Amino acid sequence: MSETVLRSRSARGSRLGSVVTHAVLVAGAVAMIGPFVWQVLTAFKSQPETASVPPTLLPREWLWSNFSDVFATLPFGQQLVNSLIVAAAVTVGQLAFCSLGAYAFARLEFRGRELLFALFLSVLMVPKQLLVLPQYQIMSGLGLLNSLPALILPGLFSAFGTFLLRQFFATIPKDFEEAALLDGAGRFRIFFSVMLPLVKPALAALAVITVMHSWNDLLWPLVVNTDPASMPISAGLTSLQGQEWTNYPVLMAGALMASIPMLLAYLALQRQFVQGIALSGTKG
Amino acid sequence: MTPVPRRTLLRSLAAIPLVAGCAGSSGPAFLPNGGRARIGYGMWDKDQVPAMQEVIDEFRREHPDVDVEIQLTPFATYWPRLQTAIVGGGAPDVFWMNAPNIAMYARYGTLLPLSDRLRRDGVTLAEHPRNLVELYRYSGEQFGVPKDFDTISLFYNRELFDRARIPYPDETWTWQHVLDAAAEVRDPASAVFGFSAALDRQRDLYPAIFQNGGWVLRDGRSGFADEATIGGLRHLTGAIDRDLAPNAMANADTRSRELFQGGKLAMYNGLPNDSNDPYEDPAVRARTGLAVLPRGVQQGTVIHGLANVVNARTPYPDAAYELVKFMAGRLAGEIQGRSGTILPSFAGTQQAFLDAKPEFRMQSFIDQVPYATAYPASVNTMTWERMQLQILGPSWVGPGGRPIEVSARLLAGDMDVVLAKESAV
Amino acid sequence: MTQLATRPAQQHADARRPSRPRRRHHSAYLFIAPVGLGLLVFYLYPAVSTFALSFTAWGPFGGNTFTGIANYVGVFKLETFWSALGNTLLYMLIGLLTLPFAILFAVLLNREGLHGVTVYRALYFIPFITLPVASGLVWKWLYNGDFGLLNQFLGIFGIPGTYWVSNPTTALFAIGVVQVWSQIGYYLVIFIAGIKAVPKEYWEAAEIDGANGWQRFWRITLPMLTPTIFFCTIINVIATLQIFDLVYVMSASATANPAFSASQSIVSLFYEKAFVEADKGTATALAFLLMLLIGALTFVQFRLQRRWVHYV
Repeated sequence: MSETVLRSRSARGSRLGSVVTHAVLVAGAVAMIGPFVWQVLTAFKSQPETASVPPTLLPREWLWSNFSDVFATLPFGQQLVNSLIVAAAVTVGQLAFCSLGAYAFARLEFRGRELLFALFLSVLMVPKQLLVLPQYQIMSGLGLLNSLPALILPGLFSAFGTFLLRQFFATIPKDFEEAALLDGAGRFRIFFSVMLPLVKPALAALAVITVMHSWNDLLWPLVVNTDPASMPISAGLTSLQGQEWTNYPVLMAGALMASIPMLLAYLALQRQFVQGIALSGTKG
Repeated sequence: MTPVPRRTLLRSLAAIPLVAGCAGSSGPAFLPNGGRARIGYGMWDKDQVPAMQEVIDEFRREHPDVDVEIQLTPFATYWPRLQTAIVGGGAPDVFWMNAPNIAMYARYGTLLPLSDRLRRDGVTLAEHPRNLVELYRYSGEQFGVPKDFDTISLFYNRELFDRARIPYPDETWTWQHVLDAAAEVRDPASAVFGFSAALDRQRDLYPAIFQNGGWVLRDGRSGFADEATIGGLRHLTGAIDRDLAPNAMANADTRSRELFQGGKLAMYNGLPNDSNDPYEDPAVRARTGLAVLPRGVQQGTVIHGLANVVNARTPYPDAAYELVKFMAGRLAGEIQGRSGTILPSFAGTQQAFLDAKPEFRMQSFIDQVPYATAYPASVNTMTWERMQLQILGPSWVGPGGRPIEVSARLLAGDMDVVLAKESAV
Repeated sequence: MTQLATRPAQQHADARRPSRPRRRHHSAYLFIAPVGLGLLVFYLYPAVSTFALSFTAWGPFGGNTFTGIANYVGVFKLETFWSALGNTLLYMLIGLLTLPFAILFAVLLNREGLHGVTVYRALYFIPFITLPVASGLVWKWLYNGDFGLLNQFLGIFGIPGTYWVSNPTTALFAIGVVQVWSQIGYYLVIFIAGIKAVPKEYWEAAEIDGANGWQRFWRITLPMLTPTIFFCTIINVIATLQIFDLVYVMSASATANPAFSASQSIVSLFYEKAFVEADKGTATALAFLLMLLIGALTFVQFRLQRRWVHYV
């Protein structure tokens, strides 16, 4: 077989492969964004129209007023700021605390490591609904009800994040660390300047997941904060849901506006976690 | 390790006596040190916030030393949050209560008894529907004061009636009229049903039971094994079996209110607030009519309403009581009625609510009060209400489903077990 | 419990020898302290204090009296417990389908020089920013027995539809599909990061050896991804065993859903018992039985990981 034959075959193969790839990705994308499109369309409908059967796809009349109604019925700006503060604090806290713990679990020998790690995992196994009451009592005891710290504090610590980063630390070849150790670097310096950059994709992924979780968290903020001024936007929007009636158009309009910061955060972070790691660059 | 939470836990548990003693703090000032009282007011309906804020503003005119702050929690999380907050010590001082929950909250001593104070002030609550006032009495003690009420009315679609050339429902109608009309308008091709026989306790089950002379709860016993009760239920399941009404699966997918809104349902039972959506859409408004519920062997409907109650652990019992008392008065009723969001329970203050939708015969809700039966409730209402849905469900799926008398007797047995536990404790 | 935290770095070298640590790092405790203490205060302590209450008669507002294991016995006698347990295990099995989908999309989105890859990545992120209540509504509408898109679509081929989320025989699977849908984006993010964390040199070396894309996937991507797959499997099993929100949105409603029992999960039963029926003693016992189940399944997975998870 000559070289040209090989090349043309692989080129044809990759062209076919790329058509298949696009077909699969487009199908997936349609399934992924369907509900979002529905959300956008609903944001322009009137309240009775959302309750009518059969449901209409396009709004009979495009109502922009739903968006201004959000501001009329909620302290939307304040709640958006609350969400931003909480999400930022929780994300920074988790990245710092979880990466430290994860590094130790992945790389350091110490007495009780198995047991401690099992304890960390057991945290994941507790249904969060079970913890609502005791956590509320802690916040009440600390005098933090109706405050942003009540939303932030429990979110700073994550067994999930520790576990996730530990898995990524574990994939890094050991020689990088040993080379640095021979250079006489301390453990913390190795962690910070050698290991941490190597798990950047994982840090970015954890950041995305944490921001999303914090942004959509509902039960805890609703239980611990009743003052609309100290609610995040997720909890604020639920006040549009009645016992039997929900103002869906305004709810969707508010949710749309609330998701813009999330989209921006993702776009900023995705460059981080879609960038590959080149070991050669850090080997020194 | 963490002394703070543990102490809180113990304190909060210790602070809940099984039977709350009468909080006898008295004196002219709401606070011993003569300072201001700060009252949190817990409610769940966003639509009523403006009216309640107006009521509070009026109250503060009389009591400028009391600050009142509304705490809105959506209904879906209202009760979990309230339970958590009562144990954890952060519950509002005054809050909304409904019939299924009042006995449980009262029994566990979480509510401030009001009878002595009401008697002292000469407040008889006579202006409110009597069975509604009694709903909020537990062991002879008044724990809640009604603020609003609702009964059920028959909503009908004029267009569908016109098309079938049959007269509109009125106060002379019986179940037979409903069934006959339903058979006339039923059109499988366009998916139009005659009426709704949903497994919906307040709108459909209880009215049908009461219209047949049945009962749900009496002297700690379930009424579901009673022939009259079963007869009421059979009126509903029979309509489903005859394909005149959507079955429970269809109803779970598309609720009667939505079917009616979309013109797919000729008649359905609705609450006062079910009129909001039809009224908002001009086309639906024009074709919608309201009437009192049809009679079975007798006339019947269910009456329910919310009450304001006082947290037993409020640091300001006097101020909280004053607020509740004020909210039971004529002015508070008028403000609520004017807002068009709810039917106030204070007699004679409903006119503004009726006027808010002149095209609809909202008066039908008030016409039924004299013969309305109070919403049945006990300490563990929520437990046996859940059972109703689960056990009756198999009879609500149309032909081939479990016979209604079998389901009803099963339900009665299970419900009696729950009720027996209540009286044993 | 042994070997939960395997020594990844040494695992291959010492696979057969009883592992004896060569040296201990006392600084490790300092690394773990911040997150460890936080978890202790805000999660472990609350869980343990609640665990104690599962041995008491615990009404809606406290007033506990010690009743031994009565709550646990009560749970085992509950018919709804057993059906919820079966349902929950089914949700778990269906939920595992999420992972192959997520891996597929992650690999495709990682192809070098793919046109519009940034657009795709943004689109696949959309479910993250769709309000859960919006997703729930649109899926309910798709599944609607009388007016839903799914039945209209099936009707074209003459296939009779049903009330997907209200029919006891289909509800669980219908909800399971939504669960898979809603979780793909989440695991996608982790898998993309996992693939990106594989050093480029490995692929370059394989390419020089003449491996094609398919071979590279099997020989390099997949083995290097096993720690991530392992992680995602653990997390996915835990998450689906705790499924609640979706069941609540799709199946529970003010009017009765005949499929309610057939689709109820353990956590939704917990929620019912704790907050609707206000029987917190039974609810707590239920939650701890679920934790026991999750713990056992997680333990088994950790024991099995040595057979297939490849650490460097």
